Amino acid sequence: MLLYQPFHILGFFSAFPSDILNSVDFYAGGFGARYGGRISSVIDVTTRFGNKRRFAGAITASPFIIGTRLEGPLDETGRHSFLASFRHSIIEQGATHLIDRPVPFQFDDFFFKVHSALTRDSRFSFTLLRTYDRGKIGEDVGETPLAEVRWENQMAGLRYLVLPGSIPVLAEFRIGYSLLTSELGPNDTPIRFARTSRVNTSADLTFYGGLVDIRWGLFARTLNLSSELGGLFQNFAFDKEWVTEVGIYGEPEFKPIRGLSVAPGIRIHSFPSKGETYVEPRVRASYEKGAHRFSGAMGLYHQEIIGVSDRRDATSVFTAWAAVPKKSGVPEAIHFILGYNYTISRRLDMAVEGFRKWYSNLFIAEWTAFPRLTTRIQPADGDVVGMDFRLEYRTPKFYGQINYGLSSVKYDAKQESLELWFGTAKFRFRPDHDRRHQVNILASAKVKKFDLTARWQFGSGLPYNRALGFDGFVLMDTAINVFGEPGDRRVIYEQPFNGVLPTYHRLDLSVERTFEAAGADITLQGSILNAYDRSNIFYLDVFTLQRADQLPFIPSFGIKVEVN
Amino acid sequence: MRTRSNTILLGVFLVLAIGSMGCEEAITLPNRTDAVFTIYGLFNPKSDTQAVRVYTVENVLDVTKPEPIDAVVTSVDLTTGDTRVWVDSLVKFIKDQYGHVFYSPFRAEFEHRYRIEVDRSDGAHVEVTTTVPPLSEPVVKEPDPEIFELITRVLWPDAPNLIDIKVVYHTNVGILEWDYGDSSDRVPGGQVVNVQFRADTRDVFSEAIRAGISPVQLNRVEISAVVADVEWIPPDGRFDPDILVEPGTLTNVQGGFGFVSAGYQTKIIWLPSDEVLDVAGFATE
Repeated sequence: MLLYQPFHILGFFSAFPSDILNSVDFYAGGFGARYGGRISSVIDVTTRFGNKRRFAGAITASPFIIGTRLEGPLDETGRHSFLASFRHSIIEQGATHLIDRPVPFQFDDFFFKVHSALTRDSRFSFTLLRTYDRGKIGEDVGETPLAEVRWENQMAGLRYLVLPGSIPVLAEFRIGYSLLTSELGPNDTPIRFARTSRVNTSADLTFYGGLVDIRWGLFARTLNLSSELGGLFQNFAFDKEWVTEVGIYGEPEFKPIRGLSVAPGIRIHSFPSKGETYVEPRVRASYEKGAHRFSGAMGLYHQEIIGVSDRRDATSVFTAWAAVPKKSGVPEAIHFILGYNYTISRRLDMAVEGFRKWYSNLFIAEWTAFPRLTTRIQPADGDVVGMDFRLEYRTPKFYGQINYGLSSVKYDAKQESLELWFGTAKFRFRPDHDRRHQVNILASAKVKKFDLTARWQFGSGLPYNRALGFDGFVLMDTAINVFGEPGDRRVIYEQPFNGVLPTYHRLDLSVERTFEAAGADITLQGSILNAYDRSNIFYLDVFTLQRADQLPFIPSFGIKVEVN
Repeated sequence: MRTRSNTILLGVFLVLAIGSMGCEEAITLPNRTDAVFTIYGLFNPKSDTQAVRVYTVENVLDVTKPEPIDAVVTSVDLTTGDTRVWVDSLVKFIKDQYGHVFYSPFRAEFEHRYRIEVDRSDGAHVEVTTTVPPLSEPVVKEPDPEIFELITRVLWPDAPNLIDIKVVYHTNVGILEWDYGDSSDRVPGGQVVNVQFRADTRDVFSEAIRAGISPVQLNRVEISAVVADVEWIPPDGRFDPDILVEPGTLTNVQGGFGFVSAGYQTKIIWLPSDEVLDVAGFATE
């Protein structure tokens, strides 16, 4: 199943509560042949199944959020279980008791999974997920109602897994449905609406051969994209389109000697609605010897759908999705990744990874001085270079991690009118997701019986478009009568993406202690979010300069009662 | 080692946290444009009133409110020295949109050069200069019926520039309009438009067959164009709003944005000769 928005509003919570996760694999690039249809990165989340032997659960309450988790057997056979989780934010109501500022954000999520061991060799699961997010992004000013942004994810999926004991083969069959709806504007009369849905079917087989494992599979998916873009100064635009993707992949993994793994792969990805089929070679390799691990990956990738945001919306809180035009080819990327891990000691690890990506046949939102959001697009190319560094230190009573990411993203826009506007057929710029530096530092320690945690996050400011002024436009193409020609409003933009938003950084502190009482674990937690009250920007309207910030300084306390 | 590592990490935290507290939170605004007005309009020698649309360049985007603006519009006839102060009229367009149109009741003179000035009370100033083209009326030269394409040459004597050229064919099958844009050729003595008579009318006969209409009659041909100031030429040869909307792409205003020029509409009605009609396939009297 595909989740279009994997993080809740403000990025503070993921859509998945941590206590339902089994594993999370993040591929910044160079992902294997099993994954496709994307040119940047992949996050693969696997959820666990519920306790098949006994009931367990937890209740969490704080001024931020209330939540509950319940799991247990569906019958007495010990082969079937359920897992349910629900979280609802109450920060909008609860925070007002702690600070004197409004915190107009809300989110909730619901997760439900049924898992069955049908036979000794087969498993079946059914999963539902729903998330909802809402945030106010400024007061109405004049007649520019950009009061609220909302989005909702809905997902449902079936998975059937066969692992015969007699042969070393694992087969997985999946059907999934994903839906994302986004709205901008008042709740009852949104001015912008975008809807993206997908039905995906896939079959994946893995043969475990000892020195070689072979993975192969096939998939078919259909996507529906629709958007309604209205608003002041906006020519109303309605788009709807269907696209399909089918393909097959194969990826043997060779382990000829101890520590060495080489996985060359091929993915054939077809986009029938575009009449295009691509052969995507991939290769991943790793070599581990002693405390050292070297890894590398490269591959070719394609992606048919693109997201467009309004230049007015500096932080892209609303995105409309569209498919690339027919007969234009499909956006393509080449990834090249090299990594090195070193276990310095039994307590200290370091890892560094460098990456280079080349993008071609991209499509980005068309640049226009008309103050409107449009799904009209222009061609572009791009490239990315960067590196990630991680240092990890752990002892029985202390854990520390430092992550630093450095990257540079550059695009070359190729809109037809650039030659007239800027005197060049290609315009090189930093796109709005080019965050140059990222730092995450996490430290947690056990002192006496208290768990202390401190987290500091830093991100460079992101590029955005700045306006030098606003006037009007009248098309002088004939002997017009200016008394009868209303004209259009116009934005006098600076050069595209010439501005940089303020940096983002925040320090969060927490302390908690767990007690056992009456067969349950009771955890008391105190926390301070945004300890030095940094005003981190959430939304900026470039036209009116209205701004909404992320969470301010918020002290909080909570309680979690868990029964296992 | 553990205590030392903990101390080091705590130190890193404090340094980064304290150091980053000084990072600017505010949005850095660009230097606003020096332009104060944007003006659009034309001097039309065939109109008794001259008018220009005036926008003020603002710092935030909002609808134009029904209020006076701080602007004084003056025109100077550089040929005679005549100066006029124009009057502001607040026009209400569709969807309750308002706009400021400054006007003056006079007829612009052919071949006179005019300057429009817009001044703000603090001394900010924009101006634009344009020349009214000479009087020119189109003349049609009958095409040679021996030449298959039936190219029809239409001359605008002394015209420096033509824009918005249209050819409209009125037939008993329907009305067919062709937009020639600014496709004219400069020749000694004026501008020429070569009307592609046979190519233009080909679709009429296809439609006539579909509609079962016979014979096909051509009632008249209307050929129109705007005779314009020589500077009224779009870059790239197209009046494409998505290109021209970019400030500065088609502008002649000093100290501001917009475009003010001079021109007037002309039209001629032409009925081809029987010989030409017959060769082209149309019915004759």
